[in-house]
Amino acid sequence: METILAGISDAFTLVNIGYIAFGVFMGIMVGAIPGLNGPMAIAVAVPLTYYMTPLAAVAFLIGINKGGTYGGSVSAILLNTPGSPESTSTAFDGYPLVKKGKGLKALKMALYSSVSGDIFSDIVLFTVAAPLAIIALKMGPAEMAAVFAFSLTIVAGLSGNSLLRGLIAAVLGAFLSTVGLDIETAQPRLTMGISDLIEGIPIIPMTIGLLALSEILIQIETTLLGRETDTGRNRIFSKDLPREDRRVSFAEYKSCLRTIVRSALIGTGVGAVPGIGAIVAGFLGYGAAKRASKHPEEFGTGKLEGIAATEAANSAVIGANLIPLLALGIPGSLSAAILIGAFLMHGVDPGPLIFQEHGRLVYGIFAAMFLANWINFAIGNFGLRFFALLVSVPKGIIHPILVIFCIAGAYANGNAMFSVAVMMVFAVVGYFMRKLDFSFATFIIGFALGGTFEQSVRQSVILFKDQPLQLFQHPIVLLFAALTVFSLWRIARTKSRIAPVRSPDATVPENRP
Amino acid sequence: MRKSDIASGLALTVFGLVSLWLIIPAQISGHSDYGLAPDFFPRLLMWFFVLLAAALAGSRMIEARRGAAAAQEKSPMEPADWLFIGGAAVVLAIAFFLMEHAGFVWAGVFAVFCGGLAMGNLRKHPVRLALMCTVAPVVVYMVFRHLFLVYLPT
Repeated sequence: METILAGISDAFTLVNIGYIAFGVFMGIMVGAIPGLNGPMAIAVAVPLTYYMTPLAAVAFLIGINKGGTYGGSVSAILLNTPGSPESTSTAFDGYPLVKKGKGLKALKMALYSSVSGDIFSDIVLFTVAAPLAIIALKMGPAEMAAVFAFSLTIVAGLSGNSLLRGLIAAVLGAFLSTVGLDIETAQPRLTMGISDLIEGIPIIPMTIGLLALSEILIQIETTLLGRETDTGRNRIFSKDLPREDRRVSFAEYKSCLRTIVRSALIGTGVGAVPGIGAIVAGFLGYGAAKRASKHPEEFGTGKLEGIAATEAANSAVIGANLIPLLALGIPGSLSAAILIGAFLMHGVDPGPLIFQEHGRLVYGIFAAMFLANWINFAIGNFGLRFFALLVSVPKGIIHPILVIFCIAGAYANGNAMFSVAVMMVFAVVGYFMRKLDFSFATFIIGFALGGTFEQSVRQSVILFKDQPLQLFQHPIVLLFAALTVFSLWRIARTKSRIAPVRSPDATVPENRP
Repeated sequence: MRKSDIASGLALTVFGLVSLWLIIPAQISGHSDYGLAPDFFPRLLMWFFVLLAAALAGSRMIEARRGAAAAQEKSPMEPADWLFIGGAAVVLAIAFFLMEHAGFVWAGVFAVFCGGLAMGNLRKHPVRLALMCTVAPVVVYMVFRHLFLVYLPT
């Protein structure tokens, strides 16, 4: 109990609150710009946290993540172009509301439901993560290897459009994680004689290249080759609009409450399983709300419930994503994979032992997450006009400047030109991955998991080399092996049947993670 | 994605095989006095990689034989894309060289100019581009130096 209280009090310092607020502000700002998203901002911001305390650093990054998720809805509603893919179905009802002169109401509903979904999943995280970590501590290397294999399969199968391409990306990511010194013999592996590679490929510059710079390259290319479509602008702050069209009344929020709770449950469930992510959660939440509605035909015509359903679901993923990260050391999403880099940079190893070794920090993070929700609510509410303005800043200004932010962000990781080189190489790799539809999210998660996965596999091989049949006495191993095979079969079957769900009007970003 | 899957699947299979027979033996020792050899896990992964890449190419070839739709499929990489990424790689390499030898600000000026040029700023907004080139790198440099205590190369 003392640890919990100490952690909470750590979070409530002026400096930490300031960092969270800055993170949320930055997240909404980046999320609101079409083509940019939260994970991108987190990747660029991680090296900047080097001089912060571990709590301030993680709180800052979580602030960006929370803000980024809401920020995506701003451009989805105002421009019919989702700032981030998870807000795609927000545009279905958000944009028609803008056309009706109720843009401000739509933005506010998106904010309220986003914060509600976030709070719900955070509460689930606080209550579930620690007991799950206790169970995880009782698992041996064979069990952990089985869990890792299962997670990688799920991530590979669900985060892209093709199971095979996803698995290839995951395996390649894990393979590249073997670059550097061998964990047992300390012999160099795949270093090509480059001394900087002795410590392995740095994850942060790699992530900046894959996530941020490659996306900017794609956007620049889209403009250069004239493949872009222009979207009109709308006035939503006009004082001529009636007051009820510029706010969400309590009765309106209450009427959406059932939808918000349902979507928050869906988002939390989806977030707790590695790999599915906020995009799927958003669509599932929207679909469930439509099915449960007495007037499903009104969805897509400017229904507040549609916005509430998507935003509550995609925001609920954020907290739940940290359940596998903190309890098992498995990143449930791209943002969580980048957070691993931040944890490691501050000497914290995410996994079941984190509750024993850094209990105070974990509870500090929980408190910071809770705080971030309210800060998100405040900044989102008061900064609406600014964020709406930001959406209309031309890409011709934003993208060239972001290129130098990426370069500076990569250099900040270890103050070395080697990091800049890594970032640039992976920007080109990321460009090809996006073009050829190989999931870079799966690649990064495979890379982040590679080290611990290798350790578990090697320990298991040594333990069971002489008596492999003993593995049959480990029910968890058998359970996860069966689950892996079953999910592979299910995913392969489903992928061959289902085409992606898209609205006829919404401009969905092409390059999903 | 059928054609590109076949091409990338085949290319990745070749890469995997080259890794297994040339790169891994040359770069990783296959000997350990205790436990497992350092090349155990990379080799295991690379075998998986080869199998998956071959399966990708193979499955798409079978699909292509069954259906005729692949013939009308649009390639994800057109000649203009190859030209673009080639040019972008050169620009990034020059920016890297400039940053190493002349400092971040000069590399920034160059990168913003090239980015702005590609976005059509020179023709439509030349003054804005000039302002962006001169102001943005200096501002980023100062922000990193004073706010984040990161000393970018000068």
